[in-house]
Amino acid sequence: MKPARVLGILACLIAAVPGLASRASSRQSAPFYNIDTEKQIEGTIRELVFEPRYQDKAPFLILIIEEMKTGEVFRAEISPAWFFDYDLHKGESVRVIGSTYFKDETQYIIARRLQCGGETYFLRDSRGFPSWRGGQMKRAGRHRGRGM
Amino acid sequence: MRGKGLLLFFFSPFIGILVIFFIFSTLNRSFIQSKAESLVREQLAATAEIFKVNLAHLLEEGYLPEDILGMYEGEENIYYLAILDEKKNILAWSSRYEGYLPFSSRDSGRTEPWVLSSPIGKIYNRLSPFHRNDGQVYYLYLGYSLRNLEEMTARSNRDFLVIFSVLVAVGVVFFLGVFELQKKYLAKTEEAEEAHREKERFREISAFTSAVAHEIKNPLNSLSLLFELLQGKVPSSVRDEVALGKAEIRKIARIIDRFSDSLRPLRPKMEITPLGEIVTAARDALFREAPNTEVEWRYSEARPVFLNADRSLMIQCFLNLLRNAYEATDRGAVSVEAETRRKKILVRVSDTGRGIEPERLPRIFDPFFTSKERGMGIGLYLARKIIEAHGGRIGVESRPGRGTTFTIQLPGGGHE
Repeated sequence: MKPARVLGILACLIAAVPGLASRASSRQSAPFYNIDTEKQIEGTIRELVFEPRYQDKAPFLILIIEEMKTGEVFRAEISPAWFFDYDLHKGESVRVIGSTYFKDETQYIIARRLQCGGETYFLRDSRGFPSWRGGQMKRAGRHRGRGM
Repeated sequence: MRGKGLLLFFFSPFIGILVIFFIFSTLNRSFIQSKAESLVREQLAATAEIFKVNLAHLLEEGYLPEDILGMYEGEENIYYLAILDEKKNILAWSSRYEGYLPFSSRDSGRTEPWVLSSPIGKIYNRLSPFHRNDGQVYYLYLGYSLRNLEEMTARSNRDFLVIFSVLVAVGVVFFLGVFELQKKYLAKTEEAEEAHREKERFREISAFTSAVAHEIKNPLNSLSLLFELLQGKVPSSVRDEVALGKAEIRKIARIIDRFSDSLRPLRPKMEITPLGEIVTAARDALFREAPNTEVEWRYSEARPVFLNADRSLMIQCFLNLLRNAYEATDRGAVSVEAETRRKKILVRVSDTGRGIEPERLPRIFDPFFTSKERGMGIGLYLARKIIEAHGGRIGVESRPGRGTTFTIQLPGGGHE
């Protein structure tokens, strides 16, 4: 094989690399609400943050909760910030029912039901359909603030 | 047929029509719904087959599942989809709703499509295997819905509810209206039947009474003649007694005459007469019988009122009314007020006397009905008969202890 021909083949291969590279650039699918991993946690809010969770969607309210019994820390995905307008505070006790997953050495929970301040917020239905995308937005218990 | 029966008579057909409409519409909608569902299932199967061919091809080309799903984002009828490995672990997924992929371990064994209810409607799910050319098996999980079809079905249901509600409302209003009209018509018919029965009864009584009066009057005339003869022949010591007997016989004859007169059909001889004259003549006649100065007398008319009526009958009528008024009034006033209103003459004869008990009021115009010890119950009956013979009406209002008012309505302009 002539060196020029070898160089040509190499050039073609190099040119093909970005194409392959782009195919290999994986889109990380966000975890979904999996009812198989549903559990209830009860703890205290350590921090409140807003994070983008889904592509092209509004930031979500995230509660960093320290579980009361085990001391484990969970990042609880509540709902888009615009949807949840109840005032939560650090140190407040909450109970969350949701789907849990583990990622980057952190425990996450996608909240379906949130209980705090004597009120219960239904954030998703039993199969994980988000209340802010339609359906019945429910709140039960003692009314305080505007809630949902 | 009355009350409940009548209501059922009118409502039963309507309810029947509603039930038929409801059943027909429900069956129709259920048929459309099942056809729509069948269409969605077919669409889902077809879409899944196309997807599987494309996915197998793209996976063979080395695309990662996450990137492949990105290519299918924005498909109108796909709510979510996922690629699973041969052990049915989710490799990648994509959903129109944040975090919503209703797939669980319970669904991993499914081989047939299934329907999931969600707040946005029914979602048709399907889990089906596909494989690459090298034999590697994957699964495609697809959530599919024809939203337009769902909206169409929902709209059809809404339209049905609206039409049904309107039908019910209009039907109820219409049939209630018809029912009320029918009820009024029946009430009128019953009234007319009652009046007819009353007339028939009265005709029989009249015939009987006339016959009795006739039979009594003949011997009474003979008796009167006998007393006439006796009066000239008896000694002067008993002449007064004979005269008294003769007077009593005349009294009986007068009573019989009154009975007969009251039963005879009236044939008024009409003439234009001032009402004031009639009322004054009636009052004078009454005062000749029994003067009463204790009770105040009032007569008023805005403008002179003229009646086209039989003068003597009208005098008789007002005489009877005024007699009643004076007899019922110990102190206070008896008044007659007259006015014309829309080609009608209204005359009110009022007193401030004892009044009439409510239970007696409906019967006071009945013949031979009286509350007086010496009355015959003919006066008011005759008054009504005279007024009706002139094409008029008479009514009464009374409050016990406060007085009574008779209102006479006669045809005619009244003024000249």
